[in-house]
Amino acid sequence: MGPQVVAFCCDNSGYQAADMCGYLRTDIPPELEVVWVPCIGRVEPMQIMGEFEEGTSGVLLFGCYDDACRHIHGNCRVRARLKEIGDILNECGIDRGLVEFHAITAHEGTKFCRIVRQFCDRIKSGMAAKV
Amino acid sequence: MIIAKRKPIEEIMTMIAPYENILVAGCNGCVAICLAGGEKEVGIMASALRLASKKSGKEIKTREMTIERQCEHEFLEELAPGISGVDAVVSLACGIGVQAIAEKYKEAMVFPGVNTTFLGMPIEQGVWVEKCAACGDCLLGITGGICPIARCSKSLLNGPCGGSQGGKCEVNQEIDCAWQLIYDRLKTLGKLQLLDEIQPPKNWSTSRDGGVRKIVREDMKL
Repeated sequence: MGPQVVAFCCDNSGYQAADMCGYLRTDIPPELEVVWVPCIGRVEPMQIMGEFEEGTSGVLLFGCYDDACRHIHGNCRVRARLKEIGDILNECGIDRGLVEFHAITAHEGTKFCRIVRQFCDRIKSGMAAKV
Repeated sequence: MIIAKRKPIEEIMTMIAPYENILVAGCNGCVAICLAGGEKEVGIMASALRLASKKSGKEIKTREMTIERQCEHEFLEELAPGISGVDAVVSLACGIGVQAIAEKYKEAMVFPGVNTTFLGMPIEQGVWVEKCAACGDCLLGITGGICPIARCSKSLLNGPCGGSQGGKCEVNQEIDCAWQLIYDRLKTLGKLQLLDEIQPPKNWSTSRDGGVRKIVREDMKL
C-alpha cells in the first residue's frame, strides 16, 4: 500500500487554496485526502493521532498566516499544540516531522500543490529507504 | 488543586508490557483542570499506547473511561464495568486516585500514567505554580496570604535571605522572592509590624513527621 497523506485545511485559507489547485488544473498527488475544518485551531491532538492509528503516513495542516486568522488565534494555537503532539508522536516511535503546519492564503493554489508534492515525495522516499 | 504531569510513554509501556487489555482511566477533578488526566488526555494516552504498541510489534486493546473523581469510593464504583475483563489499569489521576483504585479493585493491576507533582494553581493559560506544601500548620495569617514554606526556595520563616535580589530568588531568576512578595503585600495592607515578630522554628510534627496523617471528625462519622 502506498502512502496516505491527510491535509487538514482551514475554511478560510487552506481549503480555498486546495480548491484553487483544482481550478488551475494542477496535478495533486492521489494519496492526498483533504479534510475541511472551520479553523485550523479546531484540529485536536486526538484527530492527528487517530489519523496515524488508521495508517496515515503524514499529516499536513494548512492554516492562515499570522494575524490573519478569522478566529483570532486559531493558527497560533495549533502551532503551539504541534510541539506537544510532536513530543507524543516521537515517544510512540513516529517521526515528529510527519506532521507539518503551513501558513497559506486562499489564492496560493500553486503553493499548496508544491507543499503537498514535496511532502508526499519526502514520505515516499522515506518509505523506500526503509524497504 | 493537585497538579500532575504526564509520564513518558516509554515508562508506561514498560509498566504495561506484560498486559494486552488496558483500561485508561481519567479523572474529571484536578488533573482534568491541569490538562494531565481528563477525558481528552485519556483519549490521547490510549491512542499513544496503541500507536507505541503497534510500533513495537504488539497489539493492545484499550478502553477509555473518565469518572468525576477517582479519590472517592462513590464515584469509583462507576469504574466497575470498565475494569472487568481488563488486565491492567493506567490511571491518569493523581497518586490518590491510583491508590483508591488499588484499594477498591483488589484484583486489578493499577499503574500511574502521570507524576503527581505539587499543590498549586494556574497563573495563566497553560502555566501552573506551586502554592501550598500541605505542611499542616498554616502560617498564611502572618505572611499576608503568601506561603513562605511552599514559595520561598529555602522555606524560611524569617526572610528574606541574602539571595533576594531585585525581587527575585537566587535559586532561579524566574522565581519571585516569596519574602519580597510578603513584604510588599504587608506594606500595602499597612501591616508591616507583623514582620517585627521573630518566628520560632516551625513545628514540623504536623507535616511528614510521624507517618501517615489522618483527620477524624467524630461528629461526621456514621
